[in-house]
Amino acid sequence: MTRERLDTVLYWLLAAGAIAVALWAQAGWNNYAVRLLTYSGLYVILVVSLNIVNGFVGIFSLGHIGFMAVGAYVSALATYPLARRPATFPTLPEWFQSLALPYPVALLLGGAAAALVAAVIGFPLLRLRGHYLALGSLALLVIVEQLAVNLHPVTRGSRGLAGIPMLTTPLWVWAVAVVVVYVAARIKSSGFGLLLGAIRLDDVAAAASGVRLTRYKMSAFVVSAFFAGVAGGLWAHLVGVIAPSVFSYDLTFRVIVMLIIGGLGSITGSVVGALGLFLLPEAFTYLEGAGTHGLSQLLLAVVLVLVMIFRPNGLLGRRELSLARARDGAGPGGRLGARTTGADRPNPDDA
Amino acid sequence: MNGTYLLQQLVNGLAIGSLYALLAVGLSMVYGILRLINFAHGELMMVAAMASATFLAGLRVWPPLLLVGGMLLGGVLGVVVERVAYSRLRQASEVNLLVTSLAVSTFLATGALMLWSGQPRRFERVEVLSRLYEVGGVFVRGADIAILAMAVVSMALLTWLTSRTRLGVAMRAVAEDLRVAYLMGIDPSRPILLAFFLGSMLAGAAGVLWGWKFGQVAPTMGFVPMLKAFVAAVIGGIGSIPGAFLGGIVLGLAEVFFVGLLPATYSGYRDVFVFALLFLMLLVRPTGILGVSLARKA
Amino acid sequence: MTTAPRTPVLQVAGLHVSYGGVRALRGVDLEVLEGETAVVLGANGAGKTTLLSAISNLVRPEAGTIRLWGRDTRNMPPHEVAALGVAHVPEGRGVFAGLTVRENLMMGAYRVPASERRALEAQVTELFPRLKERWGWRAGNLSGGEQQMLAIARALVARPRLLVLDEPSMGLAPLLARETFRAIEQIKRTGVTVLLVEQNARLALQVADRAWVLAGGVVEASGTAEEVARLGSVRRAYLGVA
Repeated sequence: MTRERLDTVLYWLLAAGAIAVALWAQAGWNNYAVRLLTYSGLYVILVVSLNIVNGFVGIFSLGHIGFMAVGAYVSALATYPLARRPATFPTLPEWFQSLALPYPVALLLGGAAAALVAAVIGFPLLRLRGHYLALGSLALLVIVEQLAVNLHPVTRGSRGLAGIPMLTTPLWVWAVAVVVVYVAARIKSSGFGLLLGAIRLDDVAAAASGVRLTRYKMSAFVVSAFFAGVAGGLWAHLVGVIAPSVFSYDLTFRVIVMLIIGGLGSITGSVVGALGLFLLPEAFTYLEGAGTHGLSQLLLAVVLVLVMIFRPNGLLGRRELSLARARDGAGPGGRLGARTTGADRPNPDDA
Repeated sequence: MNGTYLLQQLVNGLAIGSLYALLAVGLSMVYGILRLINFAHGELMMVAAMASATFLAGLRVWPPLLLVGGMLLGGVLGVVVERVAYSRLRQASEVNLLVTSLAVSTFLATGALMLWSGQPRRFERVEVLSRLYEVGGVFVRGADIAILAMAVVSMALLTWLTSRTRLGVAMRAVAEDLRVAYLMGIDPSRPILLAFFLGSMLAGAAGVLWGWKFGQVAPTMGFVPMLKAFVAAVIGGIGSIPGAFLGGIVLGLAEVFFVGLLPATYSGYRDVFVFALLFLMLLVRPTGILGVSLARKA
Repeated sequence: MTTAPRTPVLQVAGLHVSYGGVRALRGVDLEVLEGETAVVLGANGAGKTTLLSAISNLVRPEAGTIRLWGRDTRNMPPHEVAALGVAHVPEGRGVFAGLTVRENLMMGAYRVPASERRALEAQVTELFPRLKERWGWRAGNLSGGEQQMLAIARALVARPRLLVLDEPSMGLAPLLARETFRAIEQIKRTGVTVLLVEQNARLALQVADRAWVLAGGVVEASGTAEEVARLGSVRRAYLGVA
């Protein structure tokens, strides 16, 4: 068996394992453990999908949670129990009052809505670069929040929407997680991924070589937003309640930390980062008791700065867990991608 | 809608615009010299405001002194942040700088929340500042006059500093072309520190002025104003200090007129409007009003 | 008649410098003595600018040593190298376009004690009276020739012991290029050591005492200016002689 085949087998084994664990959890685990499993899967979806934009293309977007919010609201509206609709949404039109969609369709719809928003906002936003783009994408977060607060007839304002059917199970979450990882891996090892990597390394040169920057950046942005939207739908149907305050900068920061510490550009790193940085603080809270949320966030911030100083590429850099270790491809996962990450090589132009 | 109403909106717009201008200039100063958006800029403003509200305002300190105190607090905190976090990352990639900036911001905001709780706090003001003065049908709060005065004075001082003093000119030189600055024998760390100190002082001033204007402050107050300062910088022209100032004024006026001229039901969308302006600007004139080229030699 | 041996101002030995994965310099040896004017000739891509960048410590060499007035400068930050007395006028002049003529000169005099600054400025503007006329102008609005004057003036105001010039004639019309080299001659007569890098060999060899020819990252030939000017290879490559 070739070494690359080995990797594929490894992936499918892990995927099957995840699904098996999810099924097992649904069958017999206690509530707390099931919740842990479900949330960790959600974070995996969020972080891996963010990696597609931030890691592969090098566009540092901070608006990911805004897309999550869009997906959450749209899918929640789609599955909201018909009986309760007139009371909750009195002003909404007839067709809405009688249209209930099946869960999977609702999730896809949420993802699609998020993707649409990304397509629209991407035009002006992707003209920015670097820090300016990051800030602009943060503005998206605020916009979505304000819209959610103000569009009272649709979103129920700042009090939020309660009574969403709790349809999310560990199986749903981990099935989507497996799909996201698959999609990300396929992108990374494909020609598309190669182009994204080229854009990340030197977008001026890429453009000069004829790479249609806008199209590729936009594609990555939209795909990433789609999955964030699906994650939002899963979240809404897990908790049963959503409010504008849920989709906050705090959640954004958390996802960013997971992404960075795991390693920008590494899918394995994202999974590891998501799992690790979700479960560890949970353990911390479990041991120390409630009320330590602020403290754990403080610590996360400090840890992040330390990582930036001492291990600028995160845990895995751009590398993947791989049995075919000598994978000297020219893609974002191979040597070309690995060479110029983080601060490891001071530019010779700088003193 | 008569002339007096419009004039009132104009005054209000100039006042809030001056606040944004102060914040935007500070943010731009740091960005210009380090190519770093200091996400913690809003938090510097917030800490100055909260600390002043907690410790100083109640003491009935003479207002200019309180303002100076807030400015020094902002300035010192900014320098501390630079020394502890950013200075170690001079060679780091853009992403890493950004992430560190986010981390610092989160650290300060979370710390403030733990220290002060999320509840808004009253900002004690001297009567002169809270009083409304009337001039020909138009009402101006004492605080607004202070804000306008501060904006004008600080810009004048800043302009003098950056064209007549050695270190001030060096700041501009380092921001423009770091390599050539090195060749002049300029050690960039001192101009950088100065830029941080001055920029953060402006944030501190904005914090105290904000407290005077609105009468209350909260640990969450820094986030949105920082974003607006950024929008102001984009409107005025990325890389230009006068542009940042102008952008702040323009943004303040636009915001006030948006709320003032549209029916009340839309007032909740004020921030959406501001950010829509941002995206519009990016589509139509990305270099801003006084735009300077994004490319930098260094 | 014997003259006292002149001290070396700059000693480069075995210099290897890479630029983005490409070996720009592969073992360069070079020496400049006090008071002399040395020129490094070479075509585009020969590594001339890299050499000067390395001397100013803007680039870190992979191997080799650089000594300025006997001191090993390897671990010095670039501004300290400049502070030793090196004034480096980079390729393309490198004036601060957003700063005025006055402010540019102020930066040139950054390391000069305040008491001497005024006098130096006066001296330098006498050499380039045009700058006095443009005192408050933004440097970016000056013509190419004026920017060149400003760049050199800015270097001189630092009272350098070693003046380093990267392609001073580049981008200038022939008349202006000759004027620039006349200024360099005048500077030379004040006793300042000059190291310049040039493509225009004719002008350069007229003003230089010694010459070094850089090709493909190594020193291909060296000697007095007259010797080098007579070399067949130099005549063909740089002096347009068949």
